[in-house]
Amino acid sequence: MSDKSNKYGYVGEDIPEQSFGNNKGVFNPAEINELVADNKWTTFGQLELIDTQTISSATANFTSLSESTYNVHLFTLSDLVVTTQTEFGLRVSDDSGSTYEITNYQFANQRGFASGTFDERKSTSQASIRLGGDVTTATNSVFNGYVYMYNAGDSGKYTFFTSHNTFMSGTTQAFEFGSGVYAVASTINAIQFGQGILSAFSSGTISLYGIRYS
Amino acid sequence: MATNLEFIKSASGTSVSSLSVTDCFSDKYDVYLLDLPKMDSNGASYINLRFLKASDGLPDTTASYDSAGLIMRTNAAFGENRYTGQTQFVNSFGSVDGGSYNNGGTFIIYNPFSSSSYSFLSAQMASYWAGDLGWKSIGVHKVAQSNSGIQIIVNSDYIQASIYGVR
Repeated sequence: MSDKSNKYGYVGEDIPEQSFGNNKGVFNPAEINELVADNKWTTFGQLELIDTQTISSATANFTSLSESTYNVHLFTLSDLVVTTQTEFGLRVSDDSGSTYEITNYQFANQRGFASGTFDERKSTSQASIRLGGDVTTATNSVFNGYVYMYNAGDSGKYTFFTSHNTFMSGTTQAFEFGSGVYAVASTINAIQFGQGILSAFSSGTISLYGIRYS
Repeated sequence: MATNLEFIKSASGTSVSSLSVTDCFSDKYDVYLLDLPKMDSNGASYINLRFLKASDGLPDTTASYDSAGLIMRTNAAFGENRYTGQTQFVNSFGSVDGGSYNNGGTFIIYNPFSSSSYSFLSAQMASYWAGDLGWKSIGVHKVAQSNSGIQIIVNSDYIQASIYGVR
């Protein structure tokens, strides 16, 4: 219980505290707007779209992460097309995308082909975090998957990634999943996706979501 | 078809040996997403888990947990951990070092509240322990009982968990 002002349909009584999942009273539009702004209004749908980029011959640069709002981010990668046989990857930036880091990455991935071998892909020195390859330029050879990012907004901790992707390598389907880290304690406020290490790709769509209350 | 991710609750702990997320499973959802966005260990250890029984809210310590994990390493060949008939999901869902790195990961939990089926987990973690960077894991709780929560067992300087229903 809080102050004695008239609010949320209560008159001359103690006013209930409001919070997500615990809204009590009768609300007018202004009160709802106020609670939404204070992140105290219960609305389900905690996968919140931040940005979608449809790429044509460019890297995909996400320069507004709302990293102070979300501890966990989700990227969805849809029908990415390369210009030559190569891999997809990402880089991080701590200066809002003015520059993207080229050191201090590590990754460890498991790759498998539907009609071939399974193998390990790992590095402690590559200038990007690998997501999957070898993607080819054959017809219908596209790259799809998702990437989770953890703790981008924590200036005192590393930023971690997990991913699981599938793609065509020639006429063979492949998967690659794994984990990566940018092993520097800093606030990450922009992410760049691209082919190779790391350049523009031909086309595709990448969306960025924040997971609220994570 | 799942169309929404609905926040249920968060929990956190400082200087704890385990974190229980209580009363988070119900008949409202069949599938849950558990995010562990922040986990600072105070020593090298695995991340283990148990279900909390709906009947009394206590951890189920019966030997009914099977699990398997692929360990993806940056500095050595990948490894496999697999266990059956354990008293918790043991040594299969991540390994953390004593540094404050903020390890992270996501679990998908299937049918934990159903009293007529086993409960299943799948997970992917990014953690930091001597080159053991990534884990891809599965687990099953081989008891057809209703569980109301989950306990994360790891010695932590700080740990935070959020759980969502998938609707």
